[in-house]
Order: sequence, then structure tokens, then C-alpha cells
Amino acid sequence: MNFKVLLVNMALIGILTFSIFAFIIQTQVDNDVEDSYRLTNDTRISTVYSQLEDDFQTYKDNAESSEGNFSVVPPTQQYGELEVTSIFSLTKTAQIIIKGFWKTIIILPQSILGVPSSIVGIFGAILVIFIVIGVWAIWKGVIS
Amino acid sequence: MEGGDFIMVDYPDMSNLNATSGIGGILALPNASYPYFWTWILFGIWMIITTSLYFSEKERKGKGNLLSSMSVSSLAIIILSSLGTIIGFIEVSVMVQSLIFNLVIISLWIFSEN
Repeated sequence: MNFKVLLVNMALIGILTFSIFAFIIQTQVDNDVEDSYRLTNDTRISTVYSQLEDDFQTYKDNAESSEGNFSVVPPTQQYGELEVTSIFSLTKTAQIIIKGFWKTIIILPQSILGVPSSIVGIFGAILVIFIVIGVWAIWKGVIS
Repeated sequence: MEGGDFIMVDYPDMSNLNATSGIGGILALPNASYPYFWTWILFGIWMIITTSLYFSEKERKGKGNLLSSMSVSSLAIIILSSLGTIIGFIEVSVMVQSLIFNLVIISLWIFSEN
């Protein structure tokens, strides 16, 4: 599995989770479901939902600013002139995508199952170490 | 009474329903006696859909994709449980459990697909 597929899958999971939440909440609102039966009544769900919404809003804002940066490049710019400022941050985009995935797969089940944050932190740290080693191994061509 | 006291639990029955209870009231009746009633029913439906899809695919193609069958039935269960909250027999706690279980399975399926 290459990085592109990995990031696309992570983004897909974040968007799918958000859309499923949105579908349920919208269906409940449209059908005038009692407050006690609404999904937003659960603080864990509403917190994760609003965090996901913020992430996607940030993603949208970044995409719009990238588009803005593209459009301000003057047409009179000469060939061979190098544009040194970044108009699209790959790491920032990857970070937002991974955040959505992290919230769906780790934070949400952790809050529902009641696992202490310290345990999740330890496993997260181990996972990050393995990811760093994996990135290094792919970069160096140890694994392909 | 000799040997200890009995604790009498007054479980609700059909007499607790009234004319305005409707189908939601009848379906929600087991929740008062056993809160996980609908959790098990949903799990049973999930198992039935999963195994049906898996074995039918296995019969047609020779081999089946269990994770794919599980995620398809998970989507069906998410829709069923959201309908249950509209009618009023599936409580938010059951909905949240089913949603997280199903979301994790769907996520695993997406990661298994190249």
C-alpha cells in the first residue's frame, strides 16, 4: 500500500463518518425526534461531530486559500522564474486527513468504551514510533 | 420471611400502554425490563445479513469477502437503528454502541481495499 492510497483511505473514512453522522442527525431533525432520542444528546458524539466539522472546515478554508494563491500568480510571470512560496501544504493537508481518521478510529471508541486517556496515549506513542520507522524504511527503500 | 427478604420488581407489561403509545410504545416495552434487548436484536440482524451475503458470494464466486459483507450489513444496521430512534424504541445509548461498532468495521473494510 503506498502513501497516496493510505491518505485517500484515511480521508474517505473521515468523510464517510461525517456523512453518516450528518445523515442520522438530519433524519432525526426532519422527523421531529424527541430530544432524549437524538444522537446529538450524547455529548461524546456531539463533541466528535463538531471536531470533525471543524477539521473539514479548516480543510475547506485551506483549499480555498490554495485556490486564491493560484489565482494571484500574475500571467506576466516570465518562464524560468521560480515560485518559492508554497501554495499548497502537503503536510498540513495530510495532518487534517489523519486527524479525522484518528477521531473516528481511536478517540470515538475510546470515549464510548471508557478507556483512560493515558492508555490511549501510550498506544498512540507506540503507533507514532512505528509510523516514523515505517516512513524512514520506505524513504530509504528498505521496504517498498 | 425466613432466609432473607425478597425484592419485588414491578416490570411493566401491556397494561402500562395507553391509546397514544402506538407501535413505538409496544416496541419500547422490553427496554424497561432489559436495556440490551434491541442491541441483541440488531446484532442478530447484522449476523443474518453478514452470513447471507458472505455465503451467497462464496457460492457464486467460490470465495467470499467477509469484511465486505460485514461492512455492507453495518450500513444497513446504521439505517435501521436511526429508524428505530425515530419510532422511539432504540435509545441513544444503544444507537451510539451500534454506530461505533459499525463505523469501526466500515473503516477496517476501507483500509483492506486497495
